[in-house]
Amino acid sequence: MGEGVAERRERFEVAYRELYEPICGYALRRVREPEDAAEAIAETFATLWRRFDRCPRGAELRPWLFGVARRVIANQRRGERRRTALGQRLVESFDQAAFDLLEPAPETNELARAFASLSESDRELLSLVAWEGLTREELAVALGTSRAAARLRLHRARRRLRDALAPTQNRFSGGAEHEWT
Amino acid sequence: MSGRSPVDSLRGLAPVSDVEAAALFGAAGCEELLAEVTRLPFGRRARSRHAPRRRRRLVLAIAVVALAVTATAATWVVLNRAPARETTSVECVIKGVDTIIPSTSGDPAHDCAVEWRREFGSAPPLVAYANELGSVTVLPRSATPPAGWRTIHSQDVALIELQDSLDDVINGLNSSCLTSTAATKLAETKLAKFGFTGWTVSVRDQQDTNTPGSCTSMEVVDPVARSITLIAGGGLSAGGVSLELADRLRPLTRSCESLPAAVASVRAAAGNLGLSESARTYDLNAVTDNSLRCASIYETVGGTIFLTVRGPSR
Repeated sequence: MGEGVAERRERFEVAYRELYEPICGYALRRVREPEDAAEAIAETFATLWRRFDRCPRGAELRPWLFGVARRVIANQRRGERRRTALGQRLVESFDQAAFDLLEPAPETNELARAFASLSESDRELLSLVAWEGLTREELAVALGTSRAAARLRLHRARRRLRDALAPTQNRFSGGAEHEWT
Repeated sequence: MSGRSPVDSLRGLAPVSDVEAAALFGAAGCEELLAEVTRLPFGRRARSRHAPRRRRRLVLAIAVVALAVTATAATWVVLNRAPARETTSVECVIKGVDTIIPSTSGDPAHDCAVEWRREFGSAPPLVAYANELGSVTVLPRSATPPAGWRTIHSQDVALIELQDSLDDVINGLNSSCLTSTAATKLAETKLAKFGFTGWTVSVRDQQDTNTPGSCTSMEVVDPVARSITLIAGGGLSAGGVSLELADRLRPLTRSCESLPAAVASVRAAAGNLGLSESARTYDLNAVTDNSLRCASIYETVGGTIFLTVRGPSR
């Protein structure tokens, strides 16, 4: 009836190898401290393992896993900072020197300032599209909401970014709205 | 530049690429995590215990020892177990999804029901349990808890309020950029206010936190050790509209209002800033506490803006 342990593990390993880089990127783009990022990555894949029989398959798995990572990080921000052996082992291999050498994102241009002025939920929504490359449909999966709701929230976030960019928006859009997905 | 859409430009703000991020954790980290995760029990939640940062080395040391003994998932279940009543969060299982919410009322089932209603408009009958890890999990009454879990009806409200008041953006550690000295004094004041005696307040990385531009904005409250450890956070954790809302709420904390009046004032202040409960740009929890003479208002930030108002019903 069900698949065996070996098959499940093999299938998990395929998914893990495909999604490890995107989840590392997702976490480290949102969490300043490598320890917290490592915890988020570890917890996200632990959740995937625990729910592997019940999680979406195929193309929906990636946005679903972003949704898991999003909740894990949200919990961290709510004060639930966990320190687990699993996360600690991952952070032990972290290359802090290389991290320190990464060129920081520009913080002085208008877009950066406008983006920083948005609420955390708007920033997350826009980041899921801009940084993770999610489509509207994938965004709905990641947010655990309907496509219509995801579309509406994205529209509002775009509008708020545009408003925040108001003095300079023509530079980006010529006054017209862009399709973001 | 004129041809670029904002989304293209936002991509340029990403602080690190996927490939760079994975490389930072190293190939060994990737392989080790895979090996460890697949050793976990399949299909069952194997939670990690919330461990304060300052105990990291101890946690790691014990985890390594435990690993040597058992080499199982139990190795990442750690330590410093406080009674479940003395915790300030609730694991609220909503339709099979675990959500960790901050405790608010002291009744974990009630707090979880509020979260259910926010998500779905209604909540099934719920039961709170002290789980095997010493934290609190709320399940629908229809669900059978794992063996060993026992029902729990309350959490320590004073501890919850202490945590809220420390995290607070209005008057707490996140209200301004505090030096370690100022943060210590503030924590001591909060302890006294909520009746905690015999506690100690210490600062981690003391040498860094009195330097200009460095803020002490995080803390670990440890009811077992009866201690608060302050941590340099580098800057305010909240920003933009969160701080603006705090500025508008601060005068309200100096007046003496009933709970309904304070809630109305908070909603008006949030509404004036374009914030909306229905859009979940903020969550408001109102807690009746007739032992108080005046309402208290706390604002914490994380994912959204959490506003907690405690006060007398009239």
